[in-house]
Order: sequence, then C-alpha cells, then structure tokens
Amino acid sequence: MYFIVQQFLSLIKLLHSDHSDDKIAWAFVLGFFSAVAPLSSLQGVLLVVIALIFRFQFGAFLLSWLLFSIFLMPFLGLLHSLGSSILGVEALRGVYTAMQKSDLLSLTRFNNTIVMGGFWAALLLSPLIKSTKVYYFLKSTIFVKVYDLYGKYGQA
Amino acid sequence: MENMDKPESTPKPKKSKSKSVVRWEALTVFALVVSLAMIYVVFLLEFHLKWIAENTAFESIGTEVNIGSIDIDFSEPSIFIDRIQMTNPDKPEENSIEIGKIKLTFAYAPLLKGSFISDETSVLGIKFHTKRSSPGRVLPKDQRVLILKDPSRAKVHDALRGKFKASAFSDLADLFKKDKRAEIKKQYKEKLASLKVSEEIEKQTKAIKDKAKSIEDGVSSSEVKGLLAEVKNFKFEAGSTKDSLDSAAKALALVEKLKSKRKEIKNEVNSLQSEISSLKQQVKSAPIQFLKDSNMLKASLDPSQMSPNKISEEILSEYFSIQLSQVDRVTSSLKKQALGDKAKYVDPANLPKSSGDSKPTKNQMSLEKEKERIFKKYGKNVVFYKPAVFPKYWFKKIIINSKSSAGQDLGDVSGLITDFSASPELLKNPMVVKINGSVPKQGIGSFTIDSTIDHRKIDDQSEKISIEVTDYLVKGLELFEGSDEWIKIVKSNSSTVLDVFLKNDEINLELKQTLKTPSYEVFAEDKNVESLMKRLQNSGSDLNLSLKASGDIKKPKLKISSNIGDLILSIVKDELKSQASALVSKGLAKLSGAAADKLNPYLKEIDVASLKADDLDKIFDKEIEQGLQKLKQKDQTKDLKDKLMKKLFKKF
Repeated sequence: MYFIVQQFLSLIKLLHSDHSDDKIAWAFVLGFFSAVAPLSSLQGVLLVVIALIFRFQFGAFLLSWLLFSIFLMPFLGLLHSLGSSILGVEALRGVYTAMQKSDLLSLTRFNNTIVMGGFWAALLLSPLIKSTKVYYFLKSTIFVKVYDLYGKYGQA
Repeated sequence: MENMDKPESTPKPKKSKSKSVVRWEALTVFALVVSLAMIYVVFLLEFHLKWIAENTAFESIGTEVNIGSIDIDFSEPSIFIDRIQMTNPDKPEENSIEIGKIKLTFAYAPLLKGSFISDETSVLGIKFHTKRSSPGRVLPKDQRVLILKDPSRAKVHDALRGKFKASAFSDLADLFKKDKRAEIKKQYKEKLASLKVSEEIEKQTKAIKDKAKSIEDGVSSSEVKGLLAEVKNFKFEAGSTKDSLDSAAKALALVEKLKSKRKEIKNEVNSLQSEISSLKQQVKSAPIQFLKDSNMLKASLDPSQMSPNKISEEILSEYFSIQLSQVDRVTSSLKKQALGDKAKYVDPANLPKSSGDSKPTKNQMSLEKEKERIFKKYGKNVVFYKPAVFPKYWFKKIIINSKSSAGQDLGDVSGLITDFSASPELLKNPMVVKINGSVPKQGIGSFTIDSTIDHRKIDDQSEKISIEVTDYLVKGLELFEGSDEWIKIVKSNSSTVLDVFLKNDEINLELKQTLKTPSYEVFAEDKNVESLMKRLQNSGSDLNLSLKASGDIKKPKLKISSNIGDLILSIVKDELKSQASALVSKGLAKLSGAAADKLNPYLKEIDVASLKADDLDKIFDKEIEQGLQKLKQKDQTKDLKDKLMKKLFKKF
C-alpha cells in the first residue's frame, strides 16, 4: 500500500515538474494495453516486465492501468463485437488456427473476443492517447492542486 | 580592479546525468530472483518436495510417512524416489508397507500447461511390516478416523450402525444383570411359592389342588379313620344272634364302603400322578415355550423368533459397516480423484443450444440472454483448433515388480496400473489395475486385485473392484463391540473375497470372509454372559462371514449372513434350556411336594408311606384282608353257634 501511495505521490510530483512528458505518455499507453490484456496471458506478463525493466514512469503505468480498466467496463460489449468481427474474418482463419496450435501464441488468449477486440482498440487508440497527452488533463485535476497546496504549506 | 572588472564566472549549469532507457537495477533484481529460483530448483527443490510429500501424507492418513530421498533428473526428465515407509498405525515401531524405489519419467511440454504426465512409472521392492529405525508418529485413532472419514458419508455409516444397535447379547446381558436377576429371582420365588410358575402350570396346579381337596373332602380323614378303627377293632360279639348279625352286617358294609373309597382314592391318585407326569413331559420337552409363557423370556431371545441371520446381522453389522465404509471411502476417493480437476470456467459455447427453427421457449430465450451477458462480460473463446488438453496428472503405465530373491523377505508382488489420471474424461481407456502377489513371510498367502475404474463420462461412471486375499493372518480383529460386551478374534488364518460393482450411486457388493478355527477373546460386563460367550471358543468351527449390499450407496440393502448366528443360537438355546429345565424341575418338585403334602395327612392315617398307588393298594388289601379274616372268624363262630343252637332246639 505504501508503495502504491509513494508511486502516486511521485507521479503527481512528476506531472508537476513538467518533466519527462514522453515517458509518462508511453507509460499511459502501456497501462492502456495492460487494461485490455488479461494478466494471466503472455502479453499481460510481458507488459508488466517491460514497465519494470524499461524506464517508464511506473506510477503512471499503474494509474492508467487502473483508470482504463474502470473506463473500459461499459465498453466490454463493444470490444466483444469488435473482437468477434476480427476473429470472424475468414481470410485470417488459417493464421488464427496456426496461432492456436502454437504453444506460445496460444498463451496470448487471442481467441477470446474481448482480448482480441481490446488489443485492436488499444493499438488504434494508443497514438491518440500519446498525442493528446492525457497527463495534461491529469495535471489540471485536483490531485496536483492538492500537491501544490501541500508544497506551499510545506515551505511555510 | 582588473579583477573587479572581470565579470564573475557564472557556475556552469549542472549537466543532468542522462539515464539509460533500461532500468539496469531492475534487471539486476530480476537476475537475482532468477538466480535464487535456480538455486532453489537445484539445491532445495528435492528437499522441499520430500517435506511436502511427507507432511501431506501424514495429514491425509494420520500416520508418519518417510521418504528416503527424491532425486530429479532434468536432462532425461525423470524422478527417483527412494525408500518410502508408511508407519503401521497399530504398531508404530514397524511399517505397514515399504517401497524400495519408484522411478517415473515425465514430459516437459505438458508441464507448461500445468500437467504432469508420466509415460512409465516403476515401483520396485515392496515390503510389508518391516521394522522402523524409530517409531513413527501416529495420530490417535479417533483423530485418524476423522481424517479418513468423509463427513458426508459419516451419517450413512452412523445410520448403518444405528440400524443394528440392539443385539442379542445385550438382551441376554439384561436377563442376567444383577438387578434384573434379583428381580427375576424374586419373580421365580413368588411364582414357585404360589405354584404359579406359569399360567398353564397355575391352572394345572389349581386343578390338582382341587382334586386333592375333593379327595380330602370326599373321604374325610376322620370318617376313614373311624371306618378303619371300626374294622380294626371289630370284635365278634357273642351276644344275641341278632346283634351279632347286625354287627357283622355293619362291619361288612363298612368294609364295602372302605373298598369303594379305596378305589376312589386309587383312581384319584393315579389320575393325579399321570397329570403330573404329563405336565413334566410337556415342560421338559418345551422349556423355551415354558419360559416364554411365564414372561421370563424376552422376545429378542426367543429362539423361535431368532434366526441365525438376524443374530449374524446384530453381531456383524458394526464390523461390516466398517468394511462397507472402507469400500465406500475408496470408491468415493476414486470419484473425487477423477473429478478433482474439473474445469472451473465453463465456456458459454458449451452451454445447451436452442433447437433449430422452432420458436425458442422462455427458458431458451433467457438462456440466450444469459449467454450474451457472459460473452459481453468475459468474451467468447472462439475455437479454431482443438488443442490437446492435458489432465492434471496422468500416469500412463505403472509397473509394479517386486520379486524376492533368496534370503530376502520382499515377497512377490507384480502388477500393472494403466491410465491413472485426474481427468479420465480426457482419456480413451478406463483405469485398469491388476496386481497380484504373495508375501508368505508377512502372513499373506496370496492376493489378487483386479479393478476397472471407468470415469470417462462424468454422468455415467462405474467402478469394478475384485480383491481376493488368501491365507492371511488376522490378529486382534474386533468382530463385535457393544456397550458392555465385545468379541475379538485373537488370531486366525483368514481368506477374503470382495467383489464390488458401483455404477454411479448404485452399489452391488459381495464380501466373503472365512476365519479358520479362530481363537476368541470375549468380554462382558455380566459374567454369566461372558461365560456363555466363551463357549464360542469350544465351537471349534471355521467362521464364515458374508455381506451383500445392493441398491443406493447411501441406503444400501444389506444382507449379512454367517454361521456365527447358528453358533450363538445353539449356545443361547442350550443356555435357555438348561435355565428352563432347572426352573421346571424346581417348580415341579415343589408342585409334587405340594400335592403330596395335601395327600399325606390322609395317607399317613392309613399307614401309607408314599403317594404310590401300588403301595397304597397293597396296604389297603392287607388291611381289608385282615378285616375279612376277622369276618370269616366271625362267620365260623356264627356257624358253630347255629349248630349248637339247632342241637339245643332238638333237645328241647
């Protein structure tokens, strides 16, 4: 719990510092992908490992994972429809069969409609998330204002 | 000044240290974790597995299990387990079974899917009842029973026991219990005192008493006494002829009366005696009936109500319910094993589909809605290719081979177990177990296990188990354990044949056990019952026990039969007969005595020493002879008198 709080505070600090915008943006993109990939799948594990090993802001990653998981809940039906359409493409049937036969790729659980739909949604929306810089939105939220207030009182 | 004019050198802004894209410290931690995992696998995994296996086994069966060592060969994936010892719960200083070595090969690929598949497993060097270096830990019996007891089945077993709770022995014990015995004795006394041993006897006694009374009334002792006195004291009165004649006529009338009374008495006594002997005969031939009529025999002890099978059921129900519960435990654990790896997630695609063009029913519609709801929440798994599904574990072939060589006491055990798996529904063939062997040094002549466990269809399962064990030594077998009595087989050579066929919840079981000339140890709170039970010892015959169970496993129809029922019944009958006979003799003695008492005063008066009619007859004859003799003398005197009188008349 302490770790999460610490990460959250450091995130606010980082947002306030107007520094490493790119890394924070990438962390948000990673978080979005994690939100649509089950943790028990191959890509779910890989995303966490990438977030740990590469220098992304881990707090931003966790926060975006949480927020997107909540945000996507009403859209699961939509993701299911999207995934169904993609998995229903006859031309790709051979590819899918080969993927399911593969021990490694079958671990991605790509044949699940929500996993497939979520993956494509994340892929399509990630440039948008990165370019619109969601963190600017967060910067204007109450979290940073609270931090500012804390900083002033702290200096006084 | 120059120096002053010189602009102050401004400090160079600190060049921010550029950080690498990769978090090396995280990688270091990751490498450390991997290294620790490798150290664990290489150095600690085997010990950990050994510890887990030993503890799990102890917690499962309640007796200490020791494993010598576990070695894992990762190059040719195989596991070697050395010296597995299972403590004998009854004798912690020895093992019930010891397995020399188990070697099993496994495949890596299924492990990735969380499945352990062994192509071949070899079990070598099986020994029984070997000595342990130190006594093993054993949980107390009640706790062990709780571990082994399936709580859901416990009720069934309790019900089985409850069904047969009452026993002939406890009833017999009741009969002999001190307070009961005193009460019964009191009853006996009362009954005997009043000659009311039974209603029948009471009636007969009353009749006899009445007859005796009628004899007494009919021929009052004073009257007879008077008659006899008159006869005895009859003296010829040589008075007037008329008087003499009257006197003689009176004497003759008295004698006639006496003769008639003698006949009457003789008849009465004969009748009385024949009735007594008939009663004696009747009671002697049916003492059980006698006890029953006199309400001294409990219904449960009435041999006419006691069938050998019923006795066998009462005595062996506990024993067989334990046997049955063991069979049930084995089969239910087999079922659990088979269903243990049931998929937690049910693919909505596998849910029942609505039928073709027909209008969907309300239920089908709601089912479709439910499916759609699940899809939208969890997604739908589209199947492009049906991958090989691996069971949690699958031992394709287990070879058991344990041949003894000269000087060793391993015994011969060989067998083959095929398709032992947690998910039989994924396999083509049912699990088959075929094991046979003989371990004579451990007191097992031979044994054969032949089983087919078919759990391939979840809704249609069957287990067929046949076990035959011959010439094995049974020691301290608790055959019957009641609240106040128990019967134990101290030692016997036994043979058992068990055939079980279970289809879903329907059981068909037959268990036959023969105990050859068993030696018994019996105990009963009541020493009379104990001495009675000890007579089993002298029966000297083999004990055959048989159980048949059929129907629903939760409420099976049981049929218990055994020759122990016949043995017990004959012992109980003998005991009751002797009890009854003693009682009857006593009763009849008193009855006869009472009748004699009634007659004696009268009989004594006429100098009759006993009740015997013949003696009485003789005495009467003698008495009457004497009287007649006197009468003859009287007649001779009369003749002489007449002659004299005629002569006198002629003279006149």
